[in-house]
Amino acid sequence: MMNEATVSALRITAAALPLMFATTGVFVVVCKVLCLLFPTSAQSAVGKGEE
Amino acid sequence: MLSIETIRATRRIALYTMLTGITALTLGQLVMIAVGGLLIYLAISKGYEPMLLLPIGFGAILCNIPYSSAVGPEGPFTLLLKAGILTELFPVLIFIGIGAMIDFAPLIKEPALLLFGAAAQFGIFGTMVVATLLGFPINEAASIGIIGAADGPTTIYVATKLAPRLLAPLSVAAYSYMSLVPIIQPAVIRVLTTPAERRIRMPYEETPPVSRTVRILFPIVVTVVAGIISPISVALIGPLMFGNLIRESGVLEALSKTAQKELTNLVTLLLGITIGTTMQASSFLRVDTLLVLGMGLVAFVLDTAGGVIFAKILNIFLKNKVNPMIGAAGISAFPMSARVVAKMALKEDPGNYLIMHSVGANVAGQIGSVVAGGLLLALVTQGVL
Repeated sequence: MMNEATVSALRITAAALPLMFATTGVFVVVCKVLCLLFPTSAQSAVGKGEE
Repeated sequence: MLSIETIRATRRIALYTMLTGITALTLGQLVMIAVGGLLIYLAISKGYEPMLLLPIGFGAILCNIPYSSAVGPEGPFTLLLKAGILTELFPVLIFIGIGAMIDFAPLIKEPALLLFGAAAQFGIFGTMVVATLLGFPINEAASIGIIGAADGPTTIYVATKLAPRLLAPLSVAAYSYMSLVPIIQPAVIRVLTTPAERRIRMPYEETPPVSRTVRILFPIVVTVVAGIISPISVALIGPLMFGNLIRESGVLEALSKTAQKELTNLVTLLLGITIGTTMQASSFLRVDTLLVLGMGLVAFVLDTAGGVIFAKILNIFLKNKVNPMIGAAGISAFPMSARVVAKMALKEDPGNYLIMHSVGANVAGQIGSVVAGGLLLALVTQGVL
């Protein structure tokens, strides 16, 4: 039979994994939105700091 | 002139002091001095994480000399432990340096790689569960699991908060296994993938470079988003992203270079030797310490497996398959893991260049490990469960 700590660990895992992927998903969206809002060409038009 | 009696008395005191040191030396201390020597040997001869293992090894020697004045209530290294590690100052400072070293552009260009950075943190949670089965309480099990972050500062940060008792073995395990990534990862990858899978090519599309505005906004937005989702992670992700902002701002060149080199080197030096001085025989030579070291290997294996298996699952749904080895690069050990994967791909197929993808996944691992560390802290300490 599982001990109390193992049950807690499984609960934490069950809570953390979806949160991990949700956070990651938000970061993916952030990257996409930032790249859409500030594309390279637009930055070039400003005329500085381009890679 | 000293009298003969004074000279004799001085000699007696010197002899007594020497004998006291010798008679006080325990077998455990001798073993730990040998362990310190071994770490120094591995650092110098084998090149295993020398920046950390050499100071840790020497610290282990320092603290295991009987009556060592280096440690104890007035010892300078105990002072450093209290001021730099138990306050979490050193890991935070190192994060600034790491942030200044990382180029997030490959990841911003291909953000889907972030998913691999999340999947490869599976080892943290898998190891935590295994550790509880071995009898560790949840706070210590979580700290053991965090070795799977493959991220030294995160491991130290979480361990300091959740299980300061295990700080030394956790740090040694984290850095030792990180140096063994080129041995551990290929073995796990080979077991979990077929040669055909390892030969999958992933063309790298030439896309416009990431604009400077995006590079500058990225660390700020990520800090805010991660902070809102998990406020406790701000102390981890904040310094990382601050370092990156210094780098990308383009107006703090000197500070960026200082953070990358002098700051990181200096703090790493102090961090290593201070952790080493916590490896006293009485607290280190215990069964649970050896278990922690063993669990570190489990954590790295599960991390690698988690990333590879996640990529294989993705391939079921994807039209353009990903090379499952990219999943293994999602751990935080940067840049070793990216190099290992790129090398393996070239070995299987000399025309298969995965380096850009593996670097992107590896950078994602940096973010993934910090987020995982923050979530773990939040879930364990704030009584969410």
